[in-house]
Amino acid sequence: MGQSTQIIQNIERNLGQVIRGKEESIRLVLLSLFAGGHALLEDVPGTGKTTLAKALARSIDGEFRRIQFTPDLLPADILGSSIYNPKDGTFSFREGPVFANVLLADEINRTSPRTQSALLEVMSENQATVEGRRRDLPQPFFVIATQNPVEFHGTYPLPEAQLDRFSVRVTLGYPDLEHELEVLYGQNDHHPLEDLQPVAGCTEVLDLQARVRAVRVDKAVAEYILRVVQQSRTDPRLRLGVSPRGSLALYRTAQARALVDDRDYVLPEDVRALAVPVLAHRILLDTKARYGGASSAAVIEELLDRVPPPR
Amino acid sequence: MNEKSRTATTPHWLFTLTALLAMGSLYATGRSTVLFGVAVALVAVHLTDQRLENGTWPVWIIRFLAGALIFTSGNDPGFRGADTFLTGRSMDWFGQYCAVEMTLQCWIRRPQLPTGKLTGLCVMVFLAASNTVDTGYIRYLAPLYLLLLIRAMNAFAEQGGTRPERRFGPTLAVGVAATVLALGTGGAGFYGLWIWRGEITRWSNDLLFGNPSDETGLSTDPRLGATRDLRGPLHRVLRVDAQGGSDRQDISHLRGLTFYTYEEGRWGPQIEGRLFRSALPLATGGTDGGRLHITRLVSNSGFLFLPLGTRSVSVEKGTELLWDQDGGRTVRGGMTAPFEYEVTLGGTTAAPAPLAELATADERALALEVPGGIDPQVHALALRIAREAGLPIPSPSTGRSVPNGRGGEPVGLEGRNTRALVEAVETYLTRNHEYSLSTNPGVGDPVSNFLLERKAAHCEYFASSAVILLRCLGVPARYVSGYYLHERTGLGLLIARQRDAHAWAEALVPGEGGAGERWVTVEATPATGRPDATDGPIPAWTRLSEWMQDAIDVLRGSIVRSVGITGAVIIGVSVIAFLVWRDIRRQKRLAPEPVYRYSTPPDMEALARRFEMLLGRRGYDCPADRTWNEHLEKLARAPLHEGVLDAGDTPVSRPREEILKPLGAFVDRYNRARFGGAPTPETLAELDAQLRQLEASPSGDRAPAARN
Repeated sequence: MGQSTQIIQNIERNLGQVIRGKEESIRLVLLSLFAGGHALLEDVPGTGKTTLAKALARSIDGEFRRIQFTPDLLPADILGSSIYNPKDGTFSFREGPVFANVLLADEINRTSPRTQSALLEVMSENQATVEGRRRDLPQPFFVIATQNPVEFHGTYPLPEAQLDRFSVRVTLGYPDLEHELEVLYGQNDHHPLEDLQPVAGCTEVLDLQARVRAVRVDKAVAEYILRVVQQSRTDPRLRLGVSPRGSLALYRTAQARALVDDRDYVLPEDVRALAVPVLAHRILLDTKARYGGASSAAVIEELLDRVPPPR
Repeated sequence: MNEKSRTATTPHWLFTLTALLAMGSLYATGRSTVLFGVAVALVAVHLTDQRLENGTWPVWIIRFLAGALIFTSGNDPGFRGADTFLTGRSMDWFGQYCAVEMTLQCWIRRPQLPTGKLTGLCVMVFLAASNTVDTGYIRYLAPLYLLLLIRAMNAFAEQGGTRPERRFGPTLAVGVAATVLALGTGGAGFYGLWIWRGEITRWSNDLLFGNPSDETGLSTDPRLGATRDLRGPLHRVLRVDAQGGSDRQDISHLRGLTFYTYEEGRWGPQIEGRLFRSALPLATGGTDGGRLHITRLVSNSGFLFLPLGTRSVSVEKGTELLWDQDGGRTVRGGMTAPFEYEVTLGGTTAAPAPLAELATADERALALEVPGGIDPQVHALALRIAREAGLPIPSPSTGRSVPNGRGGEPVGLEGRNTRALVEAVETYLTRNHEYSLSTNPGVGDPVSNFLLERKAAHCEYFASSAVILLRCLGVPARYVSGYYLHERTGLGLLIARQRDAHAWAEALVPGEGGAGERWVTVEATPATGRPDATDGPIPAWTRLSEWMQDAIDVLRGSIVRSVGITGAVIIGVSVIAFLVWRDIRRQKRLAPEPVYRYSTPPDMEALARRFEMLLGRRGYDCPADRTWNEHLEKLARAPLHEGVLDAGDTPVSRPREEILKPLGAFVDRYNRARFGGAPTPETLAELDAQLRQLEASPSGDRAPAARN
């Protein structure tokens, strides 16, 4: 077993202590971390979205910050601002919460699009421009955003440009009876999160990200990715297909999945397994399809069925 | 048990319909009863989920038995032509075998229907039907067949050839009921096609082309043999409006063709061999005998059917009529149905009706020629008939009576005597022979056999015998074929159908009061054998369909009148073009993506192909939309098919994992070589060796592959 796999398994085990019975979702969040992307957790309240984000930050021994998105939040509250120091009469920059390794953007759809847009540059370029000056973010930089899909009052749907910047969209879902029972008993004394110890450092994560990029992707597999994506652009049911950023995200997360499986090459299975979490949130169904009962995930699965994988 | 692992693939019903049509066509030519069983088996596929395992001994036994049955049964449909590669019989065998194999393919358990194979076999069956002899109807069925075939292929493209999975757990009662239903519907469907083949031909013909079917009711080349099988006996040929006061004339015999030469059961010469000598316009005017308004409802030949007493014929302007003296008929080229013409009847002593006139002197000589092949006893029989009637025999050369041994008749009564001779022959034939549609012509000349052995036969024999007997007695006679008009559909309205096709004779007798010779009708067929006696009632549904057909004709006529033929053609073509365009667009939308070729090294591609063939041989065909690994995982989850036995009749006990493990190991190794970088020659050799080992190992179970 390779060193990378060992690190990954350690992190997974660590997270598994806190989030019970959600191995697949945890794996997807980690894949997006190693692929250098960001994750969007979408689920009803109380399913452990925030806990997962906190546990991940703790496991990789990185700096964790949290922004609770509210309607009155301003971009400066996220990015930071310069403050006047009356002693020496100068302005000093006070970093906002984005200057962290793991940023939890909680209930991201509760703030205005203006504030949401402040994250666009941060998420795609790992830098923030405040008051005309470019500031690099610490590495690794990973955003976990959460949103509640059932509530509509006082929420602003995420703009497409913002959605496109998340590598994966993960749904945690309710735990099953057995695991929920463990959750009940597990928090008798204290929250298990408090016991969580870092199992990997930021450098190791950065190293893993570099190794992910070295995983071989055969031309046929890359062609397969692009053919699936192209199908989404010509499908009459879709108002918006997958962008090249989406192709890249699928490519990169497939590489990460191969590494996690201790392979140095990507298989078509990697692409197929990741197509729904990586692509489904990037497409827009047209009204007819939406009211016809189609879902983004079902459409992506259909696109996969339509394109034979390479053998 | 996982329901989705039950892969009882069943063809789309459209395909079944197409296949039944093809088999019905083949049955119509060869009439092999094997096809009936095959049709029932094909329908039964829809009613049960039980299937045969591919490559097992029952499948081979069925193939062998069906082959033996086909080989030993069925009639010979004859040769298609002298220059064909195969005989009609071998073509019929081939078609039947294709039908058996097609049905067997539907009965074999597999993850997906072999749609290409099925379609190919179905086409073969229809082609075989088209290449045997009796195929007049094929050209009318072909459009329907093609339409169904295209629809069936569409359905294949949409559903991968199968109907959606359904659960069907037959109890014994349901099973028995299903079998009975299958027998009933399969049999009824199949025999329905056969029984109504005439109607199907007519309907498709009339609806698709507005063009008539073969006029097989009328013998254009009479050949005395077994009964001719009339196709579409109820098909209407002529509609006659006799309200113009034709009571004084015999209009029951509508003449089509006349024949003079007879040789060994065949009247000739053939139409194709004769030249139309000259155009001779019929007399115009004259209304003494009344008028007939005749509508030809079929148009494959150019004959105008006319009563013997026709004085003149008038047709629409610009149509040229040709008078064929040799054939004694009026013809016109390029006739399209419905074709209407008006006949004026009547003839006077001074100017007899042109058809009843002797056209040339040669004609008389021809009509007196006793054929060479006739048994001498027939001649003796003729003399006996005359003698028994107490009549003198006319001199062949002059037409005058010669003494018959009982004392001559006074000269001047020849006309009466000749007419009496004709009556004597008529009487003899009607009294001494019975009518029968089925007859055996025997060895040698069929007419001699008929007369001397006092056989029962059909009208062609009676007419031929009358002609030959009269000629033996020196009375000029000729053979005529046409329609016997008797069915009344209203006041003065008559209809002639295919089944009213009839043959009779005409004799040349001196006119009354010393007038010139003229032809008269000699009806020698017993009254029980004439169409008015043999024809059964017309079924109500036939009347309904005729009514509908007439309505369509009226509609078509009014369209053509209002927009003209060009306009009607433009409208028709536009409608068809629109339908075709819509179909093409729909097909394009539904068509699967063209096969995309990924950049794969040739060595790896060859290995992949071999591995997929291996999977197929083991009954694990991998659908194109999933990877091998996914497929093997699904197989591992699917339970073993119930009732799979090994050679020793014991259930297969090897666990699925054990069978799939070596396959999985190969896939892992292959994937590493395929996607992990350029494979070295050593890796390729290792993969090849591993695959060889798999190919050589026993085939494992034949469990159905999981489809979902």
